Amino acid sequence: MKMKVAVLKGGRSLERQVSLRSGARVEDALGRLGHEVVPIDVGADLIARLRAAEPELAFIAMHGRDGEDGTVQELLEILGIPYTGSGVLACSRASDKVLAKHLMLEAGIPTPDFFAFNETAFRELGAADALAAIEERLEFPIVVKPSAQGSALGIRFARSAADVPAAIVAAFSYDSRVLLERHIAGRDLAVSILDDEPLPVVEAVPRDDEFYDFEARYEIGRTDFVCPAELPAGLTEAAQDLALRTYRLLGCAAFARVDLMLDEAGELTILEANPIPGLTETSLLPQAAEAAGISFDALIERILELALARQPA
Amino acid sequence: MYLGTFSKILSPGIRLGWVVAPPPVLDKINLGKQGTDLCTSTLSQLMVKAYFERGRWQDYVESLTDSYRIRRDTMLDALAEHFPPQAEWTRPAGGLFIWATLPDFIDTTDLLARALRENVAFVPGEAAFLDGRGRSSMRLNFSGSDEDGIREGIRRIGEVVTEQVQLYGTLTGEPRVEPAPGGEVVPMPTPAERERRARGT
Repeated sequence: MKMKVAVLKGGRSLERQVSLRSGARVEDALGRLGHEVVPIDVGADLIARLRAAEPELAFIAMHGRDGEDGTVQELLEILGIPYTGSGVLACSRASDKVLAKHLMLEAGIPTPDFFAFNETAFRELGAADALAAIEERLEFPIVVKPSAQGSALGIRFARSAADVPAAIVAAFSYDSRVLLERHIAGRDLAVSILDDEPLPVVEAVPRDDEFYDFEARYEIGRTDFVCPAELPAGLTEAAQDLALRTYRLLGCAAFARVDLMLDEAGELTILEANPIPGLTETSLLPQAAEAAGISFDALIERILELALARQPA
Repeated sequence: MYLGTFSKILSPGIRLGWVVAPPPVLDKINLGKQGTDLCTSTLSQLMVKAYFERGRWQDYVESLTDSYRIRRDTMLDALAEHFPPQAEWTRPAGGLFIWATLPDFIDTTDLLARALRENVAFVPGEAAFLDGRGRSSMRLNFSGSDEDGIREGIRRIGEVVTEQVQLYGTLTGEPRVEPAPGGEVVPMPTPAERERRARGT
């Protein structure tokens, strides 16, 4: 069935550039599939443009703030336009790392130990006095991250107590809540889920491993991706099972990508879930789909079908 | 060899400059330029040539000098008013920019994300280096906004900088000091003090 599809991309998020690339690639695929494409760079005129275009479906190719946190989903609900991916609740849960981690703990899904604070805690409640105790509990190195940022922006690696204050200041640049998390040394894995089925595991391998460099794995050209990841027996299934449980726990729909660590003892832990992972040429969900024999165009078509199926009749 | 640009004395949008060099060097430059973009628009080159032949450009530059001087002074005044005492900045005798440097625990690339939430931007200092220096510096442009815009922009940037200086003070165990209405902030610990606190002694 050929449809008029609005592709929502860009927006004000710090991941705007990645989103524009995801969106452009989705538009190309939709064109090849014979759909009518209405590209929309999301801004203050979003509602007016959607009302004027009257699309049958909205493909949300936005990452980070607004697109991935439930905001745009909420607007589309109001307008009664079916949209791709997870709903408002799942997006709100997944984009709030602290909330997601608390839910995981409650559900018995392993996630690295952590403490989270908002600015008020430091400014008015004297949380700084608890830093030494936190550092002792988590042990160095500690990862400091903003709660709501989807990409690697604002994530710092504190090797000693001296690194912690500046790392916290940096993280607060991105969000009013920060997370101090135990660092898990080991292998960096991602499991994408498509329609309640896990896809092959992707491993991110830093290219220069002479010295462990936390920032390096997020820099293009400094990381290689292996898919399917070569893992000891049983671990692929275990990683896929954990990822699927996380996806269901958060209430994700249609697709998502779950990031995990495999530590040196062979234990798996969940870092986070991304309800709208990247869809660019180098992104992990398309790579995993490809490894499962699903071309990019077929992936996009599946996502459209799932969005329509989710709509109440 | 001598290189110049019309960006500052005529208009940046014209994207023209000049080179004075020995002919063999010019030949190579020509080759490189053609390899890059074939060549710059002949029409705009002829227009700029005609403009400079009329000899009126000096009057224009003088009028620019006046308006940029006023904007520079506006920005310098706003910086003195709104930036915390730990920050320092240049007092340029020309050009269109002020280079401000903040305490080293502030990363201006991260700070930009915070400033954008207040709808104000600057160029993080890191962009001016290839080797990771400049992380605590920022380039502030005073040519593009009017005086009210400059004052308001610097006020907002000053606010987020002050916020981070205070937060850092809180995190490193400085006694908490309520900011004075004038934007007074807690004193920065010396590097030795920070080191000592970091070791918890």
